[in-house]
Amino acid sequence: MSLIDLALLNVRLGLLSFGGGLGVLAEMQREMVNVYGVMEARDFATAFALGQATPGPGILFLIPIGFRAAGPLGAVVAVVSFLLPPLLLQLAVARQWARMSRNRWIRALNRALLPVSIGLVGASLCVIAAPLVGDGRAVAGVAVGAAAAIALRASPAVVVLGAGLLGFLGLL
Amino acid sequence: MDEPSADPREDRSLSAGSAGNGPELREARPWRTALLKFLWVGLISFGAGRWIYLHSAFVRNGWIREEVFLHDLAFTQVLPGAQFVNLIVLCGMRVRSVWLGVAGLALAVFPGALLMVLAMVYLSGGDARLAGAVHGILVGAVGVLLATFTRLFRAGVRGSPDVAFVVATFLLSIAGVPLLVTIPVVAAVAMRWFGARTSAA
Repeated sequence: MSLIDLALLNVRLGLLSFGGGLGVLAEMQREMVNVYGVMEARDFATAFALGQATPGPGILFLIPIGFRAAGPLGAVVAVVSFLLPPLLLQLAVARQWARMSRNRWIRALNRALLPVSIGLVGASLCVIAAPLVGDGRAVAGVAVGAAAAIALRASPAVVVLGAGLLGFLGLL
Repeated sequence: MDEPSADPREDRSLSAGSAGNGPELREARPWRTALLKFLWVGLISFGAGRWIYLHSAFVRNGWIREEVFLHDLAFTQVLPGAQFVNLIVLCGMRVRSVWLGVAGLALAVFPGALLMVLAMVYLSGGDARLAGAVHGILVGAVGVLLATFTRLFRAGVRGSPDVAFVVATFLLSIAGVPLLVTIPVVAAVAMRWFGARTSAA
C-alpha cells in the first residue's frame, strides 16, 4: 500500500470519525483487509486490542496498522493523517463555536449524529469481534469482560490486561 | 454550568487562547509544568472517559475554568476526530497557546506510542504463550468495546426513532456502504425527523 493511499484513506476516515475513532473501525478494516489486503481480519482486531491496552489516545492502534501497510513511515503517516485534518478543523471553528452551538441546524445535527455514532460503534464491535465467533471460551471471556466493565466499573486497562494474562496462562 | 453571554464577542472566557483569566494569570502558568502535566496524562490515561485525566490535571488546580473545559468537551464531541487528542490541544490553547497544545499532544502520545512499538516488537517473536496473551488481549478489548456500546446505547437512545436510526446506520455499515454515504444519508433523515419533532412541540 502506498503512503499516498494510506494518507488519503486516513484523512477521509479521520474527517468522518464523528464520536471518535470507534465509529470508523468497520470501514477501516474493510479497506485494510479486503481492498488493500494489508492484513488479515484477526491482525486488524489485534492491533485495535493493543490500542486499548496502552495508555494515551486509543487511536494509537493505527501504529501497527500503518506499519503493516507501509513500514515505519507508514505508522507515522497513518497517525498524523488521521488526527491532523479534524484537529485543524476544530481549531479553526473553536473561536466561533460559542455562537455556532446556538444555531438550530448545528443543534439538530448534533442530535442526529448521536444515534448514527452509536450505530457505527455497533458495526465496529461486530467487525472486531468476528475473529472470535465460534470460540466458546473467547465468547464467554468477552461476556465476562463486558460485565466487569459495566457492573463493576472495572478499568478497561484492567479488563484487557487481565484477559491478556489469562490468555498467557492458556486459560482463554 | 453558566450560559455564555448573548453576544459571543463579549464572552471572552470562551475565546481561543483564553481560560477566562487575564494575561497575567496565563503567564503565571509555567509552560514546563504544563508539559509535565500532559506527559503525566499520557502515562496514566486508559480506557473510556480519558478526558477525566485532563480535568484532573488542569481544572482541579484552577488552570482552566470548569465551564470552559465542559464547553470544549462538548465541542470535541460534535465535530469529527479523536476527541481526547483534540481536547488535549484545546487544553493547551486555553492554558497558554496552540503551540503548547501541540507540544502537549506530542508528550501525551509518546508513552503509549513507545509501549505500542515495544509490544509490536515483543509480540512478533512467535512464542505460543505470547500468542495466547495477544488472543486474551483481543478478548478483553472486545469485552470493553461491548461495554462501551452498551453504555452509549443506554445513555443515547431515547426512543424508538433513535433505535431505528441506530439500526439503519448499523445495517448500512455492516453491508459495506461507505461512510461517505451512510453518515450523510442517515444524519439527514434524522435531522429532518428530530427537527420536525422540535418544530411541532
